[in-house]
Amino acid sequence: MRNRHVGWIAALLALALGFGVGRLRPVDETVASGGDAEPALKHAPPTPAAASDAWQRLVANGGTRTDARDADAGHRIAATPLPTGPFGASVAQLEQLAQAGNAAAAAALAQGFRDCQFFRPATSEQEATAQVEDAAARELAFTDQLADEVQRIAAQQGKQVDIPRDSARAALQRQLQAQHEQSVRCTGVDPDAARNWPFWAQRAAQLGDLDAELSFWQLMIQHADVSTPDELVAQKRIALDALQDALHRGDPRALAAIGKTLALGLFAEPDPYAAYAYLSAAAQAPTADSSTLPWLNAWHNLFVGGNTHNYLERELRDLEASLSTSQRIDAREAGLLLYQRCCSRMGR
Amino acid sequence: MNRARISAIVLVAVAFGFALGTRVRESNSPAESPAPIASAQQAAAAPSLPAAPTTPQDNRAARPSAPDGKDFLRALPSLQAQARAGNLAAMRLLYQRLGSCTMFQARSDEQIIADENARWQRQIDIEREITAAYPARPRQPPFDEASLLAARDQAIEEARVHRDLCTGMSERERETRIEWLQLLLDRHDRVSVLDAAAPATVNVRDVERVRNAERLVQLASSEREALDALIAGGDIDAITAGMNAYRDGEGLLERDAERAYAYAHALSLAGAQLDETKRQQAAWTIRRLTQSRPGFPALGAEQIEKARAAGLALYQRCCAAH
Repeated sequence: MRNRHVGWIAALLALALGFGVGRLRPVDETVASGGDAEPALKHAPPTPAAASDAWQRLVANGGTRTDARDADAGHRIAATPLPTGPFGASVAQLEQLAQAGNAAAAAALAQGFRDCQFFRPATSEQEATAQVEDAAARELAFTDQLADEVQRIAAQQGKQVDIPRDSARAALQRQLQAQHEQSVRCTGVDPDAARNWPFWAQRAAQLGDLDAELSFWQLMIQHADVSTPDELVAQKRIALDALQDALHRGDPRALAAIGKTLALGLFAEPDPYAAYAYLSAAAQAPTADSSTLPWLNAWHNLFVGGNTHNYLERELRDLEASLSTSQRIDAREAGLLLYQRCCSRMGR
Repeated sequence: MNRARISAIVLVAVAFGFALGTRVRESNSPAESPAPIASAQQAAAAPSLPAAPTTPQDNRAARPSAPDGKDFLRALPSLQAQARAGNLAAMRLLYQRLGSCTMFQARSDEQIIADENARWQRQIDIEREITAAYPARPRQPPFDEASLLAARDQAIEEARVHRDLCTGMSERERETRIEWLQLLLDRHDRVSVLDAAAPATVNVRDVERVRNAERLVQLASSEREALDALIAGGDIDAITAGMNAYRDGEGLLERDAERAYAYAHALSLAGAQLDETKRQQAAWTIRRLTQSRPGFPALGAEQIEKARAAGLALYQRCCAAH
């Protein structure tokens, strides 16, 4: 009789225990966060490996690894020197090399066509002069506006900043020189071919040009609104492969680029933890000029204060609101590991 | 009762309790995906919605009576439950309200009032100039000063409501509009199918567009299928929508000149069933597609022949028997 009671009491306790475990076991936040503004992974501190896994999962699901990448061909002819003459006169030779798998040639085509896409040779001396004056006026207006803005902000902070203004004569000289250089560089370039420069940027990324690999994702965003969804699906695969290849080659800039794409949520939902870990990893590398990050343009470089340290600190600060203190500490640890795996063996 | 039997009962009880607990937890968790899973009771408990409109125009007219701003946010869980239970009006409302917050920029009350005052002042100045130039012209709504003042007050109120709506949602919540649209297209909801064919109604840009590229491919495929289904049911508006969508490529569907020609040809074959506007649209589209413009070469003779055959088939599927 006593045994029977013990049995039923044990059964009841077990039932309650099972219910409790089932009801209260930790929720996988990546699945059930409900999309609200709560920081990601709030109740489940991730392990350092989770940050790396988040990226590797994306690569495994979305990358191709073999698509259009003929590494042997690329390496075989990478040593072929590029033509040294003006770009307009070298296009045919560069196209031949790029089509044969030369990554540097594809990158040179992308850069050259991009620089020449708006070039229209002047039809008369008068038109050439008008073009120079127009460009100089626009340059002066822009620099004046910028200087006014700096002075306004300084005045708000109670400071007085004296910014020397450029003379119209100097601006005209500069534009005259720029026009001459562009004319030498771009004469002979087919405007339709020049408009197609993103094709060569994509080709360069596929062939393994490092700067193209590191910046193709940015190009994809810039053209997203004029790309079809089918094109974007294909470009996402290329961008994933390109970043993974740059990472595999031990370039710490790949850590920063991957961190940025994870923060933006370019390939999946934004992942602030993994983004923080990758950006922290990138911050382990020695500080360099921010112009070494090929996805930043001159304006961004000015904005981020000119070096990689400032850029990364700004990006990390932006993510801090989405993470708890312990998550930030975990992510920094994960970053150390990521940097070691990626780049420390290269002595960078 | 021996130990083995007690152990067996305990194990079964733990398993049963675990399953029960898991089920209770799942039923209490907010669902991430808007898959149709809500119970009839949940749907019944939700606030009522305006009757389902039948055309995009009707749909816009129905908007003001549906919950908006903070009211919408309060009604969100029940609207989601109704939508999951298959209520098309709830799905539409979710899609529209969430979609209205793309490209949104938050403004304070002061900014809203200043902006609307400036707009109102400009309109008043223009009206006064017109009155000075044409003193005999009668001043009546909506251009008299009292109507303009009322319109300003309404614009301020609407801007506040919209601000409250959009600032009360996360980016992830706004992005679920894509999933609601997918469900609407899967159900061949006429209003949504016609709406999605129109320019810039499915507004997914920049990073969100890249992230959701695969979903957009699926949406376009569902849109094509849903348009075909409407056409097979004799819906001439669906042919018009398809013609415009394929001609311009500014909506969910990509530009396809040959297909646009086929739709225009089908529409012209249905001439007797059309109003004058649709007849003119079809004729204009055919002219446009056979003329070259920069970046848009004219269709060749072979393409036109194929498109006419496709258009005839489309007409027969749609309208010949109706």
